[in-house]
Amino acid sequence: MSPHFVNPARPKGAEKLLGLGLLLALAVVGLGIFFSQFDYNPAVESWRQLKKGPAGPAPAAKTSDASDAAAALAALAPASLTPAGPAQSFGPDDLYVKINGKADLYLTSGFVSLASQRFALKNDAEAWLELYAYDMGDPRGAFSVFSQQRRPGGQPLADAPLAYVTANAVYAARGRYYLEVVGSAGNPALLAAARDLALNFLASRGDRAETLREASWFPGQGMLSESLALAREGAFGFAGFKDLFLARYQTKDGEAVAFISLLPNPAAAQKLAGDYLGFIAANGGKEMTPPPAAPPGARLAEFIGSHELVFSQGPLLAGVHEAPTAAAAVELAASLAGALREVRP
Amino acid sequence: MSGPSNRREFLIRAGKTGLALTGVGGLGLGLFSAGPPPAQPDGQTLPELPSYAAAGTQGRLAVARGGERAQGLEAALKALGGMEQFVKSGERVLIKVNAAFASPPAVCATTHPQILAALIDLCRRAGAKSILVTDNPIQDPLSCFELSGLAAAARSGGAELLLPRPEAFRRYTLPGGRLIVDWPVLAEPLLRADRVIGLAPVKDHHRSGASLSMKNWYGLLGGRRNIFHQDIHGIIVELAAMLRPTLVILDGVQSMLRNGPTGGSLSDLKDTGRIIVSTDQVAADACAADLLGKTPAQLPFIARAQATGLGNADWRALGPQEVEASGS
Repeated sequence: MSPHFVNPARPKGAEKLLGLGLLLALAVVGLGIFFSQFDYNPAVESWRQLKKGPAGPAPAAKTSDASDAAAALAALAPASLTPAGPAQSFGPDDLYVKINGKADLYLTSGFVSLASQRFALKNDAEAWLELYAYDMGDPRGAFSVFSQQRRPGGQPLADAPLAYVTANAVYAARGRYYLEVVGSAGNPALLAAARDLALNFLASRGDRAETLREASWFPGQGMLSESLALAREGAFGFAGFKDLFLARYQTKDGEAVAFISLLPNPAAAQKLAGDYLGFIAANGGKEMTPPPAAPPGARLAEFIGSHELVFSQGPLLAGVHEAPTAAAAVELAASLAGALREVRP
Repeated sequence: MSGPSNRREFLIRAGKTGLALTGVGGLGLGLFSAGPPPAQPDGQTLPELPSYAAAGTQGRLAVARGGERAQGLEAALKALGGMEQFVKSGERVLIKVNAAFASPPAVCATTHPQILAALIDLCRRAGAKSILVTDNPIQDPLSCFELSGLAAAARSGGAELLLPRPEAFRRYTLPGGRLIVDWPVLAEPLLRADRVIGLAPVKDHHRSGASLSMKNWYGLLGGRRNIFHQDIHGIIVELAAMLRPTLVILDGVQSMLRNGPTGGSLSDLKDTGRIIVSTDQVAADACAADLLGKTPAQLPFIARAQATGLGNADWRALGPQEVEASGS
């Protein structure tokens, strides 16, 4: 096969300039495309929607005819309740119709569908409640939205492990479902009905509550009750974090958050730790030399008046967020590292 | 293709490549438009909205502490010289409430009907010719207004409840706007009003950090407005630029501290005992941030609105009137 271009002479200046010019032109085009894609204009989306139909209110929710799951909710009502209005169902495209600015929390946690139904007390139509059954795709999704919205001071719901009752509402996670039953007032009869309805719903799910294994890896000492949570995306504003488990602790200097995430391999965990420190530094954090008591390889930074510490241990990424002092960050990190040494991911 | 190439062939090929690139780039540049799709030439475009501010009332703010909602509202307005300063006899008043959800009044996810009833009464006593109440909830509007108690409050006060319907919208472009461009806006009530009052609860918000008076105008947008959540602070600022109201009123008698904007549990609420009334929506929001345990600096839309010249984030610089409402 003959060479395509044979010229032993070195290219001359004009050729070099032409070649460089072409490369520069390509680079300019590439940069233009790169930056233009950030300049998303919602008006284009608006225009597309307007082409589909008239301007005005958003599309109405689908009613029970559209969803067997929604229609089945009525069957869960205890004797004291009667359905009030049609059941509704929502998917990822129209969840915002029901919960507006809260939709992102669910969509980033694996949301699949929502079925809702309003019920009223048979003997008092002014007292009503609404059941929201979110299918979050898997137990992690359900636990994520349950844990991130957990109200302090809730009372247990029977023996359900991930469930609590407030003055007017019941919240629970079971299997892939997250459940809310919200009453129109703190009415004892209504709250009793809400409890029964929630228990009927949980009983209708064949699966028992699933323990997420990362949740058991945190050290028990110092952990504040009901503080365990799962952020599926973007915890602490860092896009690199996925499926980050968090728990709040009392340290000698104040409260701090410990976190754990299981990565595919040790290299990925180590890289993510570095990326997080890079994110902190890019936002004004100042890296510090960790004291000897810190876990091996730990990196520590002061950030907006608090302290961030991150380390990796095998495929586990772990760390401490918003510790009041460096000593508190190191103390909690050492405890966390000790607990993780017993873990076989 | 075989055979050696020489420098001349290389230059010819390079030249052709360059021409092709220039042609493609030029074509792309020619077709590119940074602007929005053109407005539909059907006469349904909303012109620039007027200012609804009452003359000589700029930069005023009052905070009433304690008491019921009606007491707090009346006390705060009295501290500003009374409703007559803002609504004159014979004027048509639009009250933009937050009716975003079909939720009960007790959870404070929507404007509370008690304060709507009180405001309607004050407007009526000031001589308002007509009072319109509206919002564009993205759920079924009738359910939202009925279950929130706002429909009953409007009816009992003799106000007209204007539910959104397609013909009430007009496409609107905010001058200099980046997001509100040829976008459907609930225009009919705005076109029918001489004065506009925003009446909103004080709430946490999952995306923006808080839902206050500037965010309340979000309910005037139609279409799939949820796409603006990707730039929530930007859209709040543009909404504040779009609507220059007569007054904004924030009901912080109970504030939703967490799990907003829907809330749901009574335990999401805290008794904060404040009614904030202002002609400066930036100042009102900055003042209300404290009720949510936040600083104005933690709510980026406040600083951005001030930087755009829409108001003063330093609400104390306005010389606020702070009054006790209890027993007044």
